[in-house]
Amino acid sequence: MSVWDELPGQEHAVEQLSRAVDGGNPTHAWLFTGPPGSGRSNAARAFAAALQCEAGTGCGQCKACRLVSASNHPDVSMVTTENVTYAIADVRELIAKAQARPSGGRWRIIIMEDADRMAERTTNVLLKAIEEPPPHTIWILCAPSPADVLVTIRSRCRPVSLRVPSREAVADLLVRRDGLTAEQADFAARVSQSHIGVARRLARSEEARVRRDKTVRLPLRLRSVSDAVRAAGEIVEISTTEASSSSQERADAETASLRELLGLEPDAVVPPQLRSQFKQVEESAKRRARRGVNDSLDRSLIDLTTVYRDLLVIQLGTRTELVNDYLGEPLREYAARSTPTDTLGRIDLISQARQRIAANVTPLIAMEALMAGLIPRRS
Amino acid sequence: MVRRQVLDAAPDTEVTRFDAASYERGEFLMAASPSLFGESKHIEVRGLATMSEDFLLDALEFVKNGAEDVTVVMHHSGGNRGKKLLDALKKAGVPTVPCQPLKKDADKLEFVAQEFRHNRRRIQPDAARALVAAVGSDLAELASACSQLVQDATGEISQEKVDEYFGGRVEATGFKVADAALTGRGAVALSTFRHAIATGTDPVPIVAALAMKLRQVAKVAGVRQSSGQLAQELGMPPWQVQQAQEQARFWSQADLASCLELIAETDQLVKGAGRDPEYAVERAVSRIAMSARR
Ligand SMILES: [Zn+2]
Repeated sequence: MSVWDELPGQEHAVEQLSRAVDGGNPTHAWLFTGPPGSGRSNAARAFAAALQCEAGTGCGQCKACRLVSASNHPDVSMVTTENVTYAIADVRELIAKAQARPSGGRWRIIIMEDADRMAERTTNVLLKAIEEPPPHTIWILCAPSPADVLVTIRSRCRPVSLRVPSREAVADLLVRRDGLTAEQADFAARVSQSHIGVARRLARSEEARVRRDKTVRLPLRLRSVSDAVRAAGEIVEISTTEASSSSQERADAETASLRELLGLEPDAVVPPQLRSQFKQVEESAKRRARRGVNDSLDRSLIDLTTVYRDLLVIQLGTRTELVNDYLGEPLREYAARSTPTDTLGRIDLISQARQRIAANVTPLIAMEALMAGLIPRRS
Repeated sequence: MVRRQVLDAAPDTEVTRFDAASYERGEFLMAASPSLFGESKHIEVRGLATMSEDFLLDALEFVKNGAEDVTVVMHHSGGNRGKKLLDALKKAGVPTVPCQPLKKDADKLEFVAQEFRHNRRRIQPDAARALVAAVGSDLAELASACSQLVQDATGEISQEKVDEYFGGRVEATGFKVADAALTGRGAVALSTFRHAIATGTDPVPIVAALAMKLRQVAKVAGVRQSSGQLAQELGMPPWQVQQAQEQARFWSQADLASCLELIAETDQLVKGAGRDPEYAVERAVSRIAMSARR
């Protein structure tokens, strides 16, 4: 299976990118844009794999392709920020890295996720590096839309735009690659609104499905402030556990590989002069856990939004399929007891909670306010 | 616990404590070496998770050779640091006591009560609560706070006493502000708040305290269940449920909902979205106090 097969519904971008690979002399700076779920980072990774591919096509089979797909290729760095914005020091470090010759691959490739999360000052530092990169270096920046990055960056990068794939394309991929039944794949593609990463997680993990189901049913069972604060506590707790266990796993793996890199036995004492490096691993794990909680909560809030969008579809009599089609009956009953204006107000409350969490409001506090606002008015 | 057993058995045991992180070569041997008068020795070491190299070497030595009439208790909070020592201890057959961190408030309160009981002293329930709130959940810190009170204060320990010793800690102040506001005592709430701010308290933890109290009241408001049942269901200590239930009498569902919203708005304002974080909290405190029906 070629690396391009991982990108359902992106025929246009795939054509553009494989032409660049075939040409042998690709542009040195790229800007991949597309809404969340369009698979920006997957596309960037596929492009990187194709550039390093031993067969020169993105065969998906050779060592280079497999290393890039596993985020393990020494000459491909995929960076993301755990903070609200990239720190200028981190960007400087990246630029230094970009100067180094590739160790074994054809190119040194730096993929920057969330390139929109950058202050102007930081952008200017990056700008110089993008303008005159060493001949062996390729930058791939990712952002939701071209308008999210400064025009100076935009003008120096070749644009690649991705779109949200159709439900069918995502379901098809899930059947082909993950071996799901057509029915499972369709459900996952539908409730994730064609977000591939989310769809795959839902398809693979029973826990993720249970959790989503619990979340989308929440509005149906809210009656009192007591329900509201308990529901908020539940959601935050699930997200926290999920995020901290996954970031702990990653921290342990990183510590282990750092030991290996430094030639330390797994149980050897870390010499004092190396401790700061280990401390850094620990600290970035903590930061990641914090952002992980927020990302996971954000997912719950998106799931919650689908319920109110479905309610609006019912209330306005639009002929659109419901995302949460399997909850049709209870949703119709609920819809009859409130007005479209109520529903719109609640969708606003959800986006307000998302903004608040992004602005560092304590997640539990933001969720409690939201849940309290979602309690149906007594008629 | 071990210390108590040792002391009960041999009251003149010499007790030495040190921190493995700041340990210097030789301290161990000095503490463990037999004294002229032949008393037993009891050594407590904490912070093994961040032990210094010197400590590791000396401790390994000690484990190899052992010493008579010496008990050693070491606290390791987890992680890989000093695994060699832990393995050596395991090999030598040294008992390991797993210590779970106390998560529930009820357990922390029980721990405090126990510490006082062992010293044949009494602490009032609200004083114990204030102590837990002020010191937090680190057992070592909690234990040392208890022994400080046992040693320095006389008679039954009251909340005033705890405030006197640990009152500078923001949590306790925040709860005072919150308790006053939630029961509609606006004047007390505001003056406590202003005093806290004037003495340099950060407004952020005060918002957290308001949120926590409001959350507790919201959890029990309008729920027709006994405090015992609720305590179990919510994992809250019974005294906390009872306190929340009393405060809930001041509140309607609608007012609780709008104050939950107010808290979120305030939290955002104190975390950078507002120009005047102190005023934001003051406004929240007043509005909460006004919403509580007296
Ligand atoms: Zn290949």
